[in-house]
Amino acid sequence: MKARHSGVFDLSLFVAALILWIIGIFVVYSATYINVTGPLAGLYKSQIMWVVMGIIVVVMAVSIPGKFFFNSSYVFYGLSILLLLYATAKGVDAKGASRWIAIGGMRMQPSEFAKIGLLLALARFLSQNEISLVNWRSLIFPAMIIGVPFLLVLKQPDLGTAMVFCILSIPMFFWAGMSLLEIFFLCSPVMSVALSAVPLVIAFGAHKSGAGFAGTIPWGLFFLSLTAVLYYTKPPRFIIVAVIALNLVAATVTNVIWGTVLRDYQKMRVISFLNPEADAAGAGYQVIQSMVAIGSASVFGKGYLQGSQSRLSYLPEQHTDFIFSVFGEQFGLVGCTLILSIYLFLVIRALSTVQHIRNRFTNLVVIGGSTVLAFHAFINAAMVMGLMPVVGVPFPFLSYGGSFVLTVSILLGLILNARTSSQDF
Amino acid sequence: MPKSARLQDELAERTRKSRILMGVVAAAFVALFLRLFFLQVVDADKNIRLSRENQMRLNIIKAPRGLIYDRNGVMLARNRPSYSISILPYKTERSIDIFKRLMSVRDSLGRPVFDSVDLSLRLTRAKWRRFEETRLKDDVSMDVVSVIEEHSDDLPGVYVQTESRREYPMGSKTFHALGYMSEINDDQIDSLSKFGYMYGDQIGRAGVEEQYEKTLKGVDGREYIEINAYGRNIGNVPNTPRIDPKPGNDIYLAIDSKMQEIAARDFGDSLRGGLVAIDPRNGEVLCMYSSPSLDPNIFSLAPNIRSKEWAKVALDPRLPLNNRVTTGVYPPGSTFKLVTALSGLASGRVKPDEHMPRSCTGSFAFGSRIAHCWKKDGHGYTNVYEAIRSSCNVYFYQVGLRVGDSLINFYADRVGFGHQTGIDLPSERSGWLSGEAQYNEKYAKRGWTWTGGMVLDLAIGQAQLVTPIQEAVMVGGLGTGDIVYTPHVFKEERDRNGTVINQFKPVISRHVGLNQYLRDCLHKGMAEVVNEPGGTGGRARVPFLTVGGKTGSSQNPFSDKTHALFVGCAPLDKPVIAIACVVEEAGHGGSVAAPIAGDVMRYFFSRTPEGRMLTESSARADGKEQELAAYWAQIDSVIKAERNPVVPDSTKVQPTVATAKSAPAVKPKGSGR
Repeated sequence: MKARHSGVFDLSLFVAALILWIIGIFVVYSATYINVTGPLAGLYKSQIMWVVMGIIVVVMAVSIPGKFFFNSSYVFYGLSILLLLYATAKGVDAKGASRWIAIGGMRMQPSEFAKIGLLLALARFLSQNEISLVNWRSLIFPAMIIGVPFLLVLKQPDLGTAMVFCILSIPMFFWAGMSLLEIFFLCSPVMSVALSAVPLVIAFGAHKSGAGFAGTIPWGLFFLSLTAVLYYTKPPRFIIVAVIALNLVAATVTNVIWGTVLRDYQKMRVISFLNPEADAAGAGYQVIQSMVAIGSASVFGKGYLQGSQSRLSYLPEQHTDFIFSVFGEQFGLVGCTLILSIYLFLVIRALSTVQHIRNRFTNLVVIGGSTVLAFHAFINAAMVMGLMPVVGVPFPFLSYGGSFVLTVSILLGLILNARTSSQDF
Repeated sequence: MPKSARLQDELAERTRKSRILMGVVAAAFVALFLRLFFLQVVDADKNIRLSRENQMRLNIIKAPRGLIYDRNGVMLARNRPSYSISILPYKTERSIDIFKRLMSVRDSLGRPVFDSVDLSLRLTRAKWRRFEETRLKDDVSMDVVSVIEEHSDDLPGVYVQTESRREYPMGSKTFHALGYMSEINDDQIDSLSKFGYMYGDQIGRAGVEEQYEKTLKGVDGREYIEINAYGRNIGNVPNTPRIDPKPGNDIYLAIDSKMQEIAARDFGDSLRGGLVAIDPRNGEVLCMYSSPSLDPNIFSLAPNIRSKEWAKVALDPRLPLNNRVTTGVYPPGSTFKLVTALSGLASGRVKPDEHMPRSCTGSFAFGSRIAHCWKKDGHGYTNVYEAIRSSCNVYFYQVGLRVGDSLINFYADRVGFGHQTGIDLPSERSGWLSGEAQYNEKYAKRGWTWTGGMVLDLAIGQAQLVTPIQEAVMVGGLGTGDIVYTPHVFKEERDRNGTVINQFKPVISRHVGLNQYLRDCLHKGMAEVVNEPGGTGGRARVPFLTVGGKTGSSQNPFSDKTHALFVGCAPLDKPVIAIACVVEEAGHGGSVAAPIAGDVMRYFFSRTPEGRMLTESSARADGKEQELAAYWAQIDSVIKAERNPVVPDSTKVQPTVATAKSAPAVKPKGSGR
């Protein structure tokens, strides 16, 4: 059993990734070929270059002993934080966000590499320490590891990456010993904010001054079920107090901030963020056009290079964040199902790796890496299909972008490395 | 590595946790699959429709507007392409200093095309509308267009756009007859939208442009074009119907552009008034000029210049927009005496050779009122011919008293006064005939009532209001003595291939119905006005032909100077041209209005084929071939001079104009009245 699964390069995983990358090059071409001049012209060529570099990075990452990553994880983390700090201070401005830094002639996105740094650092810490809500002191260090890059990218502002940092850590916490219940308690204040904010947003959209009594119902139900869970599971008293207090504070602060601090134009931004169709010509435009592009493809799609929505530039950022709708418009339900199936296979295959490895650090890296890949794909697809608000998260393997291709290949390399490396270091 | 430093997980625990995570991922992807199914299968039709709507846009192809020609095929209104420079900012890369590059564009004379202040303002505005075209410069010349197109690689996002603009080669000379074009306004759009008009469309205003809007406009075509998100045209959508535009038909007017030029030249910049010449045999308007005029080409200039010019025109107290020929109302003055004479003779209350009982001593006492004649010394006893010739007021006072206001108005009505003539131009005025009933009705509110003495004013044309076109119709009717046709400027409508679609058929508007006796009497008087010594209209004479006419100098409340009027027709026995000329506040009809009308008539009878033929036959009948040959030689030299204008030198400033002025060979000998 062990012999079959460890110490062997997982070819099927690598082939799945390769297929996705090759499809990605063709989709990038179809998304940009209409541009004969300008910055988008011939973009697929540089994507080919990035993919070739990505494959080299995968091979490199696979050949490096796993112990190296364990030992140098904090160094990686420190370096990526330094780059983030540098980008925040001196970054190249792109669409109002200082995400880029220029090194030589190349531009790179430190927030991409921060994902790797955070992943390794968190895996290293969690591989050496048990964490639990009961022993709340065990959470301080991981909170700091996550908090620093989180705040830095939030300041850029890059909400998508900030979300990736948070989501990445939850399965790792789970793996590191937190129960599902503890994770539920941990996430409950965030849900309180969301549930108390939604009625306010709806009321503002309908030009009412407040949400009224009905607006408190969603949060009220949530809070009731939370207390019920607390009652039946009987966690230590300080957890009960902390969870109830945090949820109450979260809901109250949300209401206070909405009522007094935020100005109307800021509220409008929140609304178009949450409900794109409220402003179909403005902020919601992109998502609607993207949904139309995917939906108009029907079952078999419009054919390669035949996508009218993308050809006619109705899709924004079509070579990066909206690459999935460019693909979807051309290849329809069949193509989308195929891509998502390959992707699902890749993630499940990666996750299945951990069953055969005893090394906790390696497992945590694989769990975190798979989470990053799965979360990117899910958020991106959900966003372009109108299931989620638009946050700038690219689709792994398909989206154009040097830094992102390299990040994905490092993640893939780390996952593949888990099988090939010796178990004990 | 010590075991305490790192934890190892057991197989069962690993399997359980990884299965949970796989389950979460799989569930998330199932949600994606469901969403895909919803978008691409359940909602597919809606999304396909939306995607089609995205790419297709109905594009209106403007039909080219019909052209307008004069009776000889001279172009009076045409369409010219106008080039404007626009920018589509999203196409311009940020790194390029487009302002600097545009400022370096120069025209053929080396001047910069753009104004730096204006350009920077427009570029700033354009930055806020990155996906919309913003106009940078209107109506640029062809050489600028070629410069921009040559350097299109250096000017990404900068485009040249073409549109059609109306142009009037004759400018102010034909303004009032043709009208002008302007953008459709908000009030009209509701009623006109069902005829295919849209916001921003041009529509004819005033004149022929308004009257024959439907003919000239044509039918706009439509096509479906593929549009990208930035609104740029990608091309036609296959398998969609394309309806080609139907160009507007061309209109040929009865107007003679050369006569317009002469009228415009004679009125110049200082005289105000109107001149109209019609063909009394069918109602064709040969010449229609109203002064002051304006150049309608200002309406198709760039918007900022247009509004400036428009303000100037609209606020001008001389009302240059009014077509005085159809909307200007004036007291007819002495020209009305023809109608008074007609009423006296036709009713039998005045005999042609009969002298009125009271002699003209320069004034006439009626009750307590002393009414004057224009000649202080008086005319003595006169018969109707002498009275018409010398325009004696006192004679016509007595005719008026004899005939009475209702009978005078009966005949005034018969020759067309008091009604719209029905000319095919918008907003014609009907004027006003005085008289007991009309006067009492009009001034009932002020409490004024008609008194018997007012018939004196009525008899000499100081009480009525008439338009120049009515005057021309009147004199034409008296000239033919028979049928009066509705005047019209439209002659025929032709399509683009020159096929005649529609020709104007003369419309009979009324019968004057003069018998031979009345015609002879009136014609004798009218002929004497122009051709006899002592006649007031001597300056309207035409060589070899008999012109019949009447001058008028009507008093008006606006000025001490009288309006100068002249009406006439020629040749008197069988008129082919009837003319009316009104010059506002300019003095006496014989000295101001008659020469202008004379110039136009002399042109007609010496330069147009029909006029020349008539002159020739008339001269032959009188046995004046030699004089005629000399006259023709003179005319031909004038034509030659016009065709090859002498280069003006310092001593002779404008030789062509000078010779043209002296064109009429026979200098009128009349005293100028």
